Amino acid sequence: MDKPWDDDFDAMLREALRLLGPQDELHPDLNAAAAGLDSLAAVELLIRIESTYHISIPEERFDLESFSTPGALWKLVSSVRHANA
Amino acid sequence: MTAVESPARAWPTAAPGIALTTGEFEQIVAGLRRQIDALSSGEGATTVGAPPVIARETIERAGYVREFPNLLGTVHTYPGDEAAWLELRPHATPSGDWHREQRITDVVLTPAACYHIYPRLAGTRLAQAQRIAVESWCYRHEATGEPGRLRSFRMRELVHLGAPADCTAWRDQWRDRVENWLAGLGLDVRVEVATDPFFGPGARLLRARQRAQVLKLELTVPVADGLRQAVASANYHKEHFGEIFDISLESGEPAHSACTAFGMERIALALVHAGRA
Repeated sequence: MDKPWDDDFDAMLREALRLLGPQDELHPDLNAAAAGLDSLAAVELLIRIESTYHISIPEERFDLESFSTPGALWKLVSSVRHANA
Repeated sequence: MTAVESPARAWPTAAPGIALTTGEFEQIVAGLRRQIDALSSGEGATTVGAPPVIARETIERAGYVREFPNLLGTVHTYPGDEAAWLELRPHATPSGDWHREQRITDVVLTPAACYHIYPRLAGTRLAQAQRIAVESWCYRHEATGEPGRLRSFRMRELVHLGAPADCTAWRDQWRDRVENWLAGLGLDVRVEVATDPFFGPGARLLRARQRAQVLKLELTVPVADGLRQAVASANYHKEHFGEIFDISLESGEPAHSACTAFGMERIALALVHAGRA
């Protein structure tokens, strides 16, 4: 399956989702919390994403859905990258 | 300055945000303490006195260091021997470099009274909801010295541990109770959705999540002309402390917790400012 995100995002997300096995598929609507993304891991992931893509996601762009699925997070990251381009 | 200054005052010291208080001020604080106790008389809470310092391991474990390193007051001491002190001793003067060998100790200054409670319940399974009243001198290394923003202050708290729905209902009940109490004291009180002053690159996300879930409610009143400060708060921590300190419900699920906190000096300052002391 073609991934909607790049390899960097894929690697960072897999590392953050500690309950996701290496062979498990990482699909856009995966429940990130059920896959091990707690609030501490979300903060660490945010720090890595912002550093990797050289972006700063404005506070008002976050909501409870932002880190709920890989697809929602990639959509947020993409929109901020697009706005900065 | 008013023509007749109230004898109930907080006197500034050489350190910003560190105040001395007059006997009249202390009488107000004592009266507030009695009223808070009366408000919570039906709670069946266990009352605990707590010191101004707390085990550093507790605060590290609770995540406070990670999110609020700029506010934490640490306790350092000199670990060397008498011979080594001979070299530093001449520097033990105001602004001298006597402290270059100081090392952190196993205690830090208490940042919030309720941190004393969770380690006492660590590893327990709650057969029923627990309620604990605790007061402690607290310290936060605040950057500003505006009225009411003391670095060293007394915080009285009521802590509730139990099931999620119990915690939110309890928190909201106390929000209303404290709002009515402060209004009854003649204070212009507002309830506001608030966030903790998280520090660092994750702060934006943590603030947004806290606000979206309405975890923290602050009750603000005027403490000086044109300045409102939070004098109390009603907070829901979800399973944060239950997970960290392994406090569980009978079901085995982590206990949730909530607290109501009162800033004793700030309420007293607000009463003095409003002329209601």
